[in-house]
Amino acid sequence: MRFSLEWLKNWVKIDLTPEALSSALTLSGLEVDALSTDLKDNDILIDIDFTPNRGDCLSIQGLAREISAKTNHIFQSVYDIKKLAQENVAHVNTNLSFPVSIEGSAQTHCPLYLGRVIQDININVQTPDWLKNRLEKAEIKIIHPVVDILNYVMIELGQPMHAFDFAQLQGEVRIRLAENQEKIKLLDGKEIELKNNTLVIADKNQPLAVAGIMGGLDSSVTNQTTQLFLESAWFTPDAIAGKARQYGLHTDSSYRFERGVDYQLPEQAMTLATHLILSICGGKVGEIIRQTTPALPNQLTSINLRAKQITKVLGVELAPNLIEQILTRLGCVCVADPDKQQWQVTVPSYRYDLKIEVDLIEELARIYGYENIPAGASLTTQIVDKIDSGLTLNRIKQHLAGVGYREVITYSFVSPKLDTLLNPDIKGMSLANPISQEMSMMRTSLLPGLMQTLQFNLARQLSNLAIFESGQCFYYQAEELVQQDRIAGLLYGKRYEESWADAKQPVDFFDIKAHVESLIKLKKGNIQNLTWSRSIHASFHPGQAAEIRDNHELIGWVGAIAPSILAKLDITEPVYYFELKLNTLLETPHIKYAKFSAFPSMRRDLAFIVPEDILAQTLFNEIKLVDTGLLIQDKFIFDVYKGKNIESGKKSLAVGMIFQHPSRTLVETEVEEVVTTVIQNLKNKFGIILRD
Amino acid sequence: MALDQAELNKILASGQKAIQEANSLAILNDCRVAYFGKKGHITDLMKQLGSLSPDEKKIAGKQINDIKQALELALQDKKLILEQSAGDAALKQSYIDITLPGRQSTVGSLHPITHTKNKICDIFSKLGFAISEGPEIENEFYNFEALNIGPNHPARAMQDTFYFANQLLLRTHTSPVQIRYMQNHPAPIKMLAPGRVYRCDFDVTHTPMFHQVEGLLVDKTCTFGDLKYILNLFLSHFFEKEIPTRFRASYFPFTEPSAEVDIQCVQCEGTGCRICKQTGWLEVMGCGMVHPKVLENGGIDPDEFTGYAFGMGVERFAMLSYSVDDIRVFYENDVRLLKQFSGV
Repeated sequence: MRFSLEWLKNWVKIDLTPEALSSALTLSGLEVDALSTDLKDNDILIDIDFTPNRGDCLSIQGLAREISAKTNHIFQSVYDIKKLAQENVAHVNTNLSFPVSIEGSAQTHCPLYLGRVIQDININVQTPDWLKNRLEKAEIKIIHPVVDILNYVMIELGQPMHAFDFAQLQGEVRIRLAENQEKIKLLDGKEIELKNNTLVIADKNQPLAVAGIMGGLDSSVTNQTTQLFLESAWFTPDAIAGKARQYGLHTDSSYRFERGVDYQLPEQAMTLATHLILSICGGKVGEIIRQTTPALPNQLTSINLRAKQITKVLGVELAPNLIEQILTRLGCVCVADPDKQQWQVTVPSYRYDLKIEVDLIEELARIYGYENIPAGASLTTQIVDKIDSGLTLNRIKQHLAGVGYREVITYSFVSPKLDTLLNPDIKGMSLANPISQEMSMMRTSLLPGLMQTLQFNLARQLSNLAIFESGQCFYYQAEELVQQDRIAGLLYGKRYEESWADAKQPVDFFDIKAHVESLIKLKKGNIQNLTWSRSIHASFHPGQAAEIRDNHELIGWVGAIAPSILAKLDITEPVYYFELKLNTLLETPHIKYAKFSAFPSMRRDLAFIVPEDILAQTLFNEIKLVDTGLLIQDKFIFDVYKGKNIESGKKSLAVGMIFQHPSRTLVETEVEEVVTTVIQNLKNKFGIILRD
Repeated sequence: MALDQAELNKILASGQKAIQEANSLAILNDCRVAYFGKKGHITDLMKQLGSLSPDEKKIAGKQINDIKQALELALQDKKLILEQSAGDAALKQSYIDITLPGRQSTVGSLHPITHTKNKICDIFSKLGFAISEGPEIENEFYNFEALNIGPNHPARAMQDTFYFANQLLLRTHTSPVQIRYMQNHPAPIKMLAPGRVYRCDFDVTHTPMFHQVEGLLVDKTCTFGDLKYILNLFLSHFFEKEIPTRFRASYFPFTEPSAEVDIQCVQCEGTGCRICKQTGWLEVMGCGMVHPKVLENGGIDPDEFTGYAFGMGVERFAMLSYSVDDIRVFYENDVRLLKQFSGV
């Protein structure tokens, strides 16, 4: 909101420079956005951004009060409202009245409604220049003398008012809730359909205004209007908050009512507005028509304030006299206990934001100055955070960066088209109010973001990429929302940057699998029952992808992205991808030292001819089954061969086995027994034969 | 009778010359054979000694020995020289170009936001704050109501929120983590909540998703003065120098008193520039004493305990420390940007 310094000076005797004033306001919570000079009037204009709790400052009077409290300059009302009211009496025609009622449903929303009929105004007068000038400085449009006067009262005192063309009002004024689908044509010409949560001012036939937000066109004041019905009411913030937004309307009136207006203000505003209309437009006025409901407060808020609580919150001891002085400057009345360690503080009606003790403590801090509260030298609580002894996400990230991956961070919302293409069988969540269609669905996996990052960089002439991301994924599992922390990586292009040293080999499944294996090895004590089996995940190439399980629980996937998906995304080279659930990796088993055998080990190598569709895992599983005495310490594939000397549809797998006993030297025959059984079982169960 | 010394000197001189001229170990060996071999010059001289009387033998023996020793020494020196150069030649065969790059020197990188978040978290971790995380899809209770943001509160309009159909929303701050933490841990509390947050905003300084780090401390003696102290401490460690700060009164529904924290502009050091909009100050954090209702919602008695809370945008700190002027570049993930963060 924009304020004229000259106008403010009518209300508060300031002798500060505009810069000093601006700094004092900014530090005390009224942030001055800009200071500018009005050369024509030799005036200074101050733009202030208000926090939503300070509705009381949205007027010249309100800001002047605040300046007075903060800078200790004298505040003085420009008007003697009682005197104005008496002057108005001279123009009263007691016959001018109109029935006004606040209906049951509206009683909590409109605890106070003042109306007044004005007759025989002069339709030929213009808004006076002094008034126009002040409204223009406050960025208010000049519309009609009566409307301009009401706006002037709003800017000066803070009370939004409304004037109806009295001739258009039928029978009575009713303050009520709208009926669903009731329609009203507004001042701006738009017709809206009302909802039954909305307070309206109506006559006996139809709504005339959306209360506290905007008037209707049919009952608006025009150049032909000679009779007025003035409204000055107190609508509660709860009645107005959210309603303007609901209809896409934001007005100076709704801005003030939704933040709160002083319930003692409507009467003062009505008196000042009447006075100005009479002196500018002439006419005769009726008595003020006053309707109230039980929701109107009948006493001022009173708060108990304890000196020790002030010190407990702020960390500084304020002298009792200073406390009383600051509260008095804020318009409060303080009654102290004899020892001045406690006060009963009565708060003025315009500071409806002050309700509890800590509200007063904040006021004391603000006026005393945050800059005057010494920074304590205490770290207070001596709590020691628990030490992360297990694998941390940071360690995982650093490991991936160490093997060449770059971390990316992508938006958690993605294009539903892309997510559905990549994760077709998963039920995800969509935003009701997304930024755009392309950012409207919560990712169900990390794949869409990494794929988009690949596409973005490919479009910028990049040909190799290794990236990873960690973060939450969101999906439904059996109607339950799951938010799961995951980590995923994507590999594309050549294994290394182009170099003299290495052949320009493209990456393949075993590169990315090695990275996943290295991640799993980072976990303390590893994962005991880890299995890899063919994945049926729709994103992947059916023959080059694995599901990773820990004791039958699915913990991740690794593989080549399905060629059909790559074709749809115009990606020409294979893309390799892994995604792991983080919780399994981050669980921390307690590690125990395992004694190693002091006895010699024996190695046996066996080469088998294996049908192509049988996985190496089958051999391992069988060896494990046979090795009931747990003699095998380690087993590994040391050669895979297809081609010459191997019949087509078969492959040769060479397995190495290390035998060792923890407490004695092994004898040849017990090793041979295991080897022989493995060979027999593989032959009998799977038709796997020993290579010559 | 002595041997003819002139004759001996001749033998010595020609031997020395031959050794001098030998340019390989093979030729040097030939020289050795020519003087010390079975038929060598020195061997011949030695043979002559047999026919001499003992006195003569003594004199002649010494004469021969002198030139023998001189030649042996010359041979030995030359051999060393030749062996050395033969070794050098072999080594030369295995010289490589040490300016060629090493194999597989690819190193990845962490995202600049991760670097910045880690730096913030590390400072507070050293001060004893426990790090806690929580869900990003939240309900209205944890995101608003528990934080004293009522259904019609203008603050809900201030922070335009992403909603889902079923009354769920994307958290607009990491404060819900603080509520959950208070509900699950008895006071005193000292915790930090980093994470992704979401608001409907998209321009040069706003992305609809960004990162926050919020902190909460609850104890029996915990004051606004303590809050000022810890944030000053944090800011000077983050920016790695003593940096002037100011605490400006502000309003948040969940703290009271509330403050915005400004630091002296890191660009112009307070003289005024484009970045600080000529004010000399940059707003970097919000903070305040936890509102009694929020403590109550967390299951903590506000008569016994007070608390302070603070929050900051990680992107803001990253932009200031890396001089990034458009926040959106963080989420494009252009490798040319990511590469610049390999070394930090």
